[in-house]
Amino acid sequence: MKDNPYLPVRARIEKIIQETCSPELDVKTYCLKLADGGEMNFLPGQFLELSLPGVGECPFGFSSSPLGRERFQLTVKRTGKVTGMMHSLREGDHVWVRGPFGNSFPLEKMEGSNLLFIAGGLGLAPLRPFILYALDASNRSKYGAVDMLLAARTGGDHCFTYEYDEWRNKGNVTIRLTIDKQEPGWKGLVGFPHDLVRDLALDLDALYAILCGPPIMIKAAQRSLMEMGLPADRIYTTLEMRMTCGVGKCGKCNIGRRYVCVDGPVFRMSDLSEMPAEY
Amino acid sequence: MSFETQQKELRDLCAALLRDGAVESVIGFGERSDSCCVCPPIAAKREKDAGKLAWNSRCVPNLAPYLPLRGKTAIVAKPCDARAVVNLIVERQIPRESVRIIGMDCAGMTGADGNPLRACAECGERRAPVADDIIANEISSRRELEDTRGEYSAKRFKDEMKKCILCFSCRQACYGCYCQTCFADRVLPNWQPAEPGFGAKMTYHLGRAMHLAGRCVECGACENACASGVDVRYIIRGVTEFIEKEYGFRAGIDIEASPVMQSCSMDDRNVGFWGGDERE
Amino acid sequence: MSRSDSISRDDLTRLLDVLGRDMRIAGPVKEGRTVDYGISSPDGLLMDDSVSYKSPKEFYFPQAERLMAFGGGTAEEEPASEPFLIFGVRPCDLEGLRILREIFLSGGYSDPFFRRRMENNFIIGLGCVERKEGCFCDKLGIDMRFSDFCDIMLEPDGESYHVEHLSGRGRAALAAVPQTAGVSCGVGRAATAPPPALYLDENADEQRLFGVIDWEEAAFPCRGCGICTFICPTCHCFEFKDSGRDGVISRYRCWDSCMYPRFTLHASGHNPRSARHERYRQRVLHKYLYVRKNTGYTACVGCGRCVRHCPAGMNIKDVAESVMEASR
Repeated sequence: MKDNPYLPVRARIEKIIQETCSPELDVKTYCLKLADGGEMNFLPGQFLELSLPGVGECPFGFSSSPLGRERFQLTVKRTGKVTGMMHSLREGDHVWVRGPFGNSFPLEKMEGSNLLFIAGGLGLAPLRPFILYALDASNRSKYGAVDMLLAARTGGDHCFTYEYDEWRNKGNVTIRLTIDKQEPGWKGLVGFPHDLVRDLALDLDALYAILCGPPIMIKAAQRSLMEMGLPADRIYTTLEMRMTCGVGKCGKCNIGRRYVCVDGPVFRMSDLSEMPAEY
Repeated sequence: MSFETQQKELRDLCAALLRDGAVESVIGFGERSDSCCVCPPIAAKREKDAGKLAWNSRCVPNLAPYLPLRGKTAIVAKPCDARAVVNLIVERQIPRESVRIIGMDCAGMTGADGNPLRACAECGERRAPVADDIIANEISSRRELEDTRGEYSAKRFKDEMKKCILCFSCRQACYGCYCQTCFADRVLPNWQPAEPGFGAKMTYHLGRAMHLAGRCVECGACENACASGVDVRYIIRGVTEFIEKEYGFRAGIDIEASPVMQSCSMDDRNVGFWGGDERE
Repeated sequence: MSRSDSISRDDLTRLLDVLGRDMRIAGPVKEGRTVDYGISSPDGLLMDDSVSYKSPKEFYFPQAERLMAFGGGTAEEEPASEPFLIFGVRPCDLEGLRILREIFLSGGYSDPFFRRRMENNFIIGLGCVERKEGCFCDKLGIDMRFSDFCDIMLEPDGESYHVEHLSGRGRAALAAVPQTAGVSCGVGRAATAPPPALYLDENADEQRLFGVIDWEEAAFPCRGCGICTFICPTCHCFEFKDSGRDGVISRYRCWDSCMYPRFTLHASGHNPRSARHERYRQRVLHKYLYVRKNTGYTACVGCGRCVRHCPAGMNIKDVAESVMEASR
């Protein structure tokens, strides 16, 4: 990239994992490798800009472990123009990427604490780098209990389900899955995270909560946590806006004086609560 | 009669309408903030707000795009504004009973330089064709209507297009451009290339002109909105003249009319397609 | 006889002729009924007190600019474009460029395209004689006769111009032309304008300013046309668009506008600023508060263009003043 942050480089799609597949929610995870053999050195919470030439460019949060730098993953829901075209690509095809951009979760600051991840739908994807980092054998001892409250619309809409058993085996890890409405055969929880979080036995003095999901879920869940007594500076979230340039120039992700692409996408709730709620 | 007396009559009427609850709000013109500005549209909601309504030679914007507001709404309407409201009713965009048209007799508006606006200089309408109230004004000096049409030619079109920066202000000012998503803004398919070149401008302006066939009320809002000085109205006027010649239809005159391009009759001449008249 | 630090209109034309050998000359020209910045020979430039309807920002940040082409293996950066000599830039617009430079070149990332144009373009500023209708640069603390953010500054003085060079390139340019080599520029003139009277406290609470005036009422006339952002000397929001031609796909950077609903529209359909008054508030507060918090500058220079050209008669000065009043 050198001195031009707008120039992307080519990356090869090594593998595609179909995460969910319903007409409403068609999600695939793409395992990518830079074509020039370079490394993608990103931190949990950062994002990149992905281009399909002639179609356009979109921001995506990394969804893979930051420890494996030769390959990285993006998890993409088929929604618009770029993601629609992305879904038609196959293994071996190339995309263009530039990044990483943005800030990251304060990994070191959270050491010694318990972690509560609350994700709604695809909101788990940008949290996954942090989860994988914290659960990695080299880091597991740095963090206490890891709780996850993972919400999805229906039972078939949870992502990364193939990994949950492995995560649970890392010790002191609890994963709770919830869906909006009861459906036949569902054994998990039913309801929304902002209600269910109140039922969790949490040690609020030693806890950091990390949220990601639709804006309405983030707003509701953080309200619950704060009502429960968790201070706003121990709640983190990651926002999604239309980050076009990624470098704080284009103005698309501007909220108040902040730019989500450079001042975020990770925000502490105590900072977010000072900002206009335009997210 | 003058602007001042019309303004007083207008304020009295609107105060009464708001006081009696005949309407919930009045869309009208406010006082301009600077001599170079046009009078900004305002919504008067309380009786005392009626005193803020202005009527002078700088009441330029067409107010029809500000409809609908919640509840029954009165609208201060120049003849062209009234025609726009009528055509919105004809096109079933607003119900007739939701709007009270206060027709302002109008001798034409002026630009910041005090000269008549071009659309106004060519306009012969002095009174709203359909109105619930008329604030009359005997227009004393009937100006000679100007004809600044010039010729329709590819060269002139290209010259006009040179000035256009594709900001789409003309569309936003137009009462008739009420599509939720304009074809020019669509992403799938994307009709507009990245560069604001001649092709992009032609696609937009000709596409818009076709969409306004039989719907343009010649208010000049497009041209007045254009900071670049493009004669936007010229582009559409050819279409409007064609509709008038072929179908005897002018938009916004008859509230019982059917939209001319949405209705057909066996008597319609087969013009415009397959060489038109030659096949008959 | 002209003063030693003044040049005549003829000598100015000669200076432009000489400089024009190496650079394309742009400046205010008459386009039909309007005045715009255009490419012109020196004798086609307007040298009077008329102001272009657009700002000169397009010579630094064009409306549509090719950034790169997707090659087989790498993205090929668009080579630097030929430099411009921009004549007749008003002090307000010069201050606008200063603000754009701050935005594009600072904050962790430096925009290479803007930077190259800053380095290569040559600006001749031109002071205003009279304040035009709608102008309010004085309220922003800008001297309508002078700004030092240029290479050469001209201040009209009857039939001639008081001249000042403000960069090494400006001095060299004057020295290279026989007619102007002799002028002894009194470098060191500082802008003389009262301190800004219209500004928002940079420590103001953003959320509070959302409630200090009735934004819905203030934005009622707005049609969301965005012409204010197109002609503004400091508006700088953009989007990328890809375009293919002759088998080569290029990426363009195009002006975008916070006044457009799709500006913040997510692919999901969610829109953080879905109402028109929210978008209008964004424009006002971005200029008067957010940029100020980040850079210290108010990103409005009082050029009056959006006031003169708003099809709905809106006036950002009045709105900013009412916010300032109400937030005291």
